[in-house]
Order: sequence, then C-alpha cells, then structure tokens
Amino acid sequence: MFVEAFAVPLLTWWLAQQPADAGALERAIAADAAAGSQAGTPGPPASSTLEAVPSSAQATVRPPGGGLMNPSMSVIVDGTFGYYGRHAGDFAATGLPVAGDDPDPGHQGFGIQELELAFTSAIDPYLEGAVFLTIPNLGGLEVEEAYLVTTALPWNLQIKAGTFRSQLGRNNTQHLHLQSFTRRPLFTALLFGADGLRGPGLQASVLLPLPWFATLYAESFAIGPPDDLTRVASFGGGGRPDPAHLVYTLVLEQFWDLTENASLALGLNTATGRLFDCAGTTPCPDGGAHDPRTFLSGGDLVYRWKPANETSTYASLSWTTEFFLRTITDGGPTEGAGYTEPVWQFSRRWYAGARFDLVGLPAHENLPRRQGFALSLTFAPSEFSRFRLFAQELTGSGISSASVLFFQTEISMGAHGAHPY
Amino acid sequence: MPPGTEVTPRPERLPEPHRVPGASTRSRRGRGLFRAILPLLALGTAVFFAGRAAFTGRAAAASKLQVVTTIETLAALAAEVGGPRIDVQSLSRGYQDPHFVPAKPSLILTLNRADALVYVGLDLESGWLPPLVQQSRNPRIQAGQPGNINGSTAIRVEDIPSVPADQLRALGDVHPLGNPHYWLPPDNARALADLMATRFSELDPGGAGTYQARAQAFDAKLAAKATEWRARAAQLRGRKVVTYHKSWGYLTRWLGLDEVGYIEPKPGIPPTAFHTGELIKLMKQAGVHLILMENYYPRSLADIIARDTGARVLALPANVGAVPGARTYFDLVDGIVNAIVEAAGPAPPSPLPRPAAQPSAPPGPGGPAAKPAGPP
Repeated sequence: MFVEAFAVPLLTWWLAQQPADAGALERAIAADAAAGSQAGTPGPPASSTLEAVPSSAQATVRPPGGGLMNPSMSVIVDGTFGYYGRHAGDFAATGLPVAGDDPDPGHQGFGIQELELAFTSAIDPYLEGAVFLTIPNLGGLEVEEAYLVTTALPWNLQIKAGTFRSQLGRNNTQHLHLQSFTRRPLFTALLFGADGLRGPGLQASVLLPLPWFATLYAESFAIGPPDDLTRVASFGGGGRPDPAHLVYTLVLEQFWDLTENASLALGLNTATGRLFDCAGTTPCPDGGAHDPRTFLSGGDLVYRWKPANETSTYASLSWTTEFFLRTITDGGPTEGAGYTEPVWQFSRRWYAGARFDLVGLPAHENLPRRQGFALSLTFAPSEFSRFRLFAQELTGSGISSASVLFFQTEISMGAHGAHPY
Repeated sequence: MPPGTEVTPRPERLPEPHRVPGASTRSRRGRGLFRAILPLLALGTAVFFAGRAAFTGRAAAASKLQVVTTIETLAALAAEVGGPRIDVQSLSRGYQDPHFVPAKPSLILTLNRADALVYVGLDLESGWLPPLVQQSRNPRIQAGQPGNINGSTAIRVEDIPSVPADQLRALGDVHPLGNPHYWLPPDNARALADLMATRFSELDPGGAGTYQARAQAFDAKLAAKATEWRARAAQLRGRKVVTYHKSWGYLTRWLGLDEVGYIEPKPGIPPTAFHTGELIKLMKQAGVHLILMENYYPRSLADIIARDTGARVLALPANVGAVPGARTYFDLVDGIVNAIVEAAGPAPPSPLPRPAAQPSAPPGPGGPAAKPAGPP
C-alpha cells in the first residue's frame, strides 16, 4: 500500500536525481517541471547552483551552546518496517533466536530497530575514550560499549578496558549500522550470545613485527547469564568472581594487500568459557558451578576489491565468510555454524548484498540444521543516510520455511568517527 | 546437576553427560584448561619478546627521519625540505580522491613506523585517518605530539561556512572548518615547506641546518616560479569558470579566475538533471568557457555540458602523482597553469552589450561585495 502512495513522487524525484545524458536531460527536465506543479512533491532545492559562502568569514562554526570541550557526539536512528514470517508461528517454528539488535518479532510492523548514541573523545595524551549507548527496539537503554583505549604504550601494545565487543570474528566486532543487512547472521544469537560476545572486560593487543599487518588480541570478559534462560548459552558463568568462570579469547588478525585494488583479511579466533545451561531446571542454579567448559573457535575471511581511484568507477565488492565451531566438553556436542555474504556496490549509491547462513554443521540439538538465504538492496543518498530492502528465507528439515521481509532506514547525525576497515 | 533435582522434561535434549557422583571434577577440568592454554601462552610470550627485540633493533638501525604524509603533494614538499635525511611516503596515491581513501590495515603498519605524520587537516581525512592513527600504536604521531603535523595550521583558511553546526549537513558534505584543498598556490606551498622545516628540525635537531637550508632554497625557487606563473596567467584575470567540486577555490583566487558555479549541486551530492540544466543556462548567460575538474571524477557529464555550452573541460591533476608528468610540486602547478592558460585562449574582445547583468552570486549575509557584478 505504501508503495503505491509514494511511487509517483518517488519516481519523479528519482528521475530528476539521475545523472543526465543528452536525451535524458530533456526528458527529465520536462518530467521535473510537470512534477513540480503537483503539491507536496519534494522538489530539488532552488538556486542551489550558486553558493554564496563568504570567504575568510570570521564567524566559525561552533556547536550550539559553544561546547568546545564536548566529545564528538553522534546519533544514529535505525527504523524498520516489516515482518517475520507470513503466517503466525512460521518464524517461531524455525527455532532460531533473534539477535538483540534484530527487529523485535514481538512487535512487528513499524519499529525503531536501534537508536545509538555515540560519544568519542581523547581523554588525555595517553588515552582515548568511547561510549556507545543503544536503545534496541525502543526497549530500554543498554550500554553497547564504554571503554578506554591506550594510545601511547610502547612496543606496539594497546590495552582496552571497559565494556566492549570482543574482537572474535568479524560481525561480532561491528555495530549494527555497519552491516549491509537488516539482521545479524543467524549464528550470532546461537553461538556468541543475543548481543554478540560483549561485556565488561580487558583486552591487550600487540601489532606483530611482521612485514604484513598482523595483530594478536588477548581478551577476558565477565559474561553473565543470558536473558533467554530457555536456551544454552556458550558463555554465561561470569556471575562468579573466580578466573575459571571468565571468558578468555585469543584472536589473530592478518591483512594482506593482494594488489592495489584487492585485499584479504584473515582472522583466527578461539574463545573459552563456561557453558550456561539452565534449560529445564527450576529454580535456575546460580552461576552454573557445574557447567562444563566450552570452546568456541573459528575463522573469518574478508576479501575486498575496490579500485584505488574510487570516484571513477564506483564499484566495489566485499565478501565476508565466517565459520565457528562450539565444543562443549565433558561429553557435550560439537556444533558449528557460519555464513558467507558478498556485497556488491554496482553504482555510486547502490549496494546489493546476499547472505547465506548455514546453522548446524555439524548439527545437534542446540543447533539444528537450518539455512538462511537473504538478499538486501541498499540505497545510500549520502554517507549519512541509507535505505534498505531486506528479504530472507529460513528453511530447515522438518519445518516449513519462514519468510522475513524488512524495509529499513538509517540516518546518522553528528560527528561519528570513521569505522575500522 | 546434583542428583535429586527436579527436571522438567524438555524434548530434544541429549542425555546428561556422565558424571561420577561425588568425584571432584574441578582439578580434571583445571588441568585440561591449562594444557590447552599453555602452548598458546608460550607462543604469545615468544612472539612478544621477539617483537620487542626486532622493534628495538629496527629503531636503532633507521637513522633517517621516517615521514608519512596523507597526500602525495605533501610528500613531495616534505622531500624538498628533507632531502636525503628523511624517508617519506604517502598513504594515498595522487589519483585518489583524498576524502575517500580506504583505511586498510596495511596503512596502520606504515603509520606504526613513522616518526612524523603530515596531514592536510580541516577534516579532509576525517573519513579514514583517525582510526588508523589510533590503532597505529605509535605515541609519536598522536594529536598534540611533535610528530603530528597539521598542515592547515600554517596557511590562511578560506571558505569557512557561517551556518549553525546542526544545519551544516543540509549544505551537503561541507567542511565545517574551512576548505581543505589548499596545497596548490605558491604562498601555501611556502608556508607548508616552512612548517615542515621547523617541525622536522624539532624532531631531528641534528638535521636542523639541512632542513632550513633546503627550505630556503625551495622558497627561492618557488618565488622565481611564482613570478613566472603570475606572468603567464595574467590573461586569466576575471575569466569565469565552473568546477566540478568546490575544491579549486584557493587556485582560482590565486589566478584571478571567477568561479560562478559547480557541477555538483552541493558538495558530495551527485549532479542532477535539474541542477545541470540551470548550470548550462548560467554558463551561457555569463559566458563561461572553462570547466575545471579533478581527473578522478567521471567526465561524461562535464563533456555533455561542454558540448551544450561550447566550453572546454579540463580534467586536471590535483595532486603530485595524479598524472605521470607530475612528479614534483613544480611539475604539478606548471602543468595546471599551462593547461588552463592554453584552454582559456587569448583574452576575449570587449563583450557585446548584454541584458541587465545577473549578479554572480545571490545576495546573502556577507553579500557579493567581493565579486564584480558584471563582465570582467
């Protein structure tokens, strides 16, 4: 319904925005003149050819209120409209949990998937600080990350302390708005935790003295019990204050420039902690004192192709593949899941993505065999806004397939810092 | 779970792992953990100490000042000033748009080994440089340190927008601190060279004499070339031009050219049919015969506009290394000035009477007082 209502002005606006060629120029100017006479059409700004920006103006730009010492602040608003499964119960039947920042299946239709407030600043000559607050699905304020990171340690060391996302894998390190898809990969909530592997902890890393980029990270986190007590969580024993219940990770990230335009990044990851398995036990025992140790290991590979002279071709490819295996000791199962996602930029402002999720390789009762096939189409009018169509089909043996469909909009206000590559 | 606990039956559960009742499992698991972690710990320790040894060794061996710049023109100027006492490299290539350089981790490696980082500033590199510097693990080049050299502190910044910060993005991708494309005019090149000479001397006091002498030699050569360029470009005074992106302001002011419009409707916004139509009308009315653009922008639209208006498109290098012939700063500016002079042709004869001249800028705060409102 909303498609018909907005189609005509959208189409005319889209026509006017197209880069002009000789014949199209005439047609588009005519179409725009016709559309301009309709009320309510968002026309292009008038007299924008000549920017009368005075030179050497003494007035400089200051944030309202003159906040000279304020950190860089930004706000990202991510709204969605869509549904999980055409028929009620379709999605629940797949048995797949949603990630914390996926649109909420309990409130389908219109939603604000995430509202992120970001503050970054240099603290002093030795430290930088960052705070990221998030309100997922309009349901309460959460701390996504809040940490300090050193900038002046010797011997290529760096320490990060606070609450932050683990460096494990690739998707786990990313905030929601860095993705080219509306939903997280299926394995996020199953293996890493509903919000990924993030929590209070400490990270030490060293840039290795190799001719190529290689960094080794060692982390430790206190991860508490999950919100969803009906599921097994890889790590959840952080409620107890002894080292045996912390989560430890070791990550080696490497990067190679294959050519001037193509690059490859490889991550080798391993993490260990205490399984949290409260399913079916009432009352839920505190801290999982008898829960076995889990090992979560895997790799991530990112291939990127982007011509060095970006503005001449406006095409790029980014292909990410991850796979993780979780082993529960003491006779527990070994289960695995992964995904592969190519994202192809085919025009200055357009990106097409496809993601194939495979859950349950090998499969056991915590991770049944499921497949997800997702497509996304993203339109980015500028670096600060994005519009996306996302469609996903979830299938598996013994269940009927479920379709997921979302239209997503993202806007960013303020000085959000540049993201890691 | 201890025996006797109520278990609510749940389908699809594996049978409970076998536990010997009463036996302690903690020491078995502890040993298992230790055995798993030990080789990793050993590897980590070995790598750490090897790295430290290699790092200290390399630092002692490298006696040259390691200078890293963000654009090739800054690297060329640094090479003029530093000569054989420095090793200089640029993070981006001359034919890349300096706003959008992929922030690859291999650049972190380059920054990690730098003694000095010279950058343009004014938020030109804010899309890619800050996380690289933060992750470089190099205390020498962090903000505020002697090795962090911001070129924009040496020059007079122009085109500072005067709108409230929260309205800035509505003007497109405008740089709030001023126009950062400042490295072409000779005055700014001299200021940059002098800045680098001073800062290199602080970092490498033994070479202070060399840096100052080379900077003075560069200044002298620059003064001679600037006179030559001014003479060659005298006929360009008052000529009207259109540029693709609002990045040629410093050059056009130096050469006395009059920028009347831009192919981008707003900085960073791709050209639209409506805006292009307006621009063509304006170019015909005002008699604009030159379109200047960096050679990394797509040419097709500029060519169409040129065909329609009879103007000439100049796809110019904006940085050293953007074309094979621009190996030094002098080559670069020589090439640009020659290309514009040749394309502009001789000064036009006195113009025919025109209808009441359009102001070349809409009235606004600050007004068009600085621009002539009629033919040159």
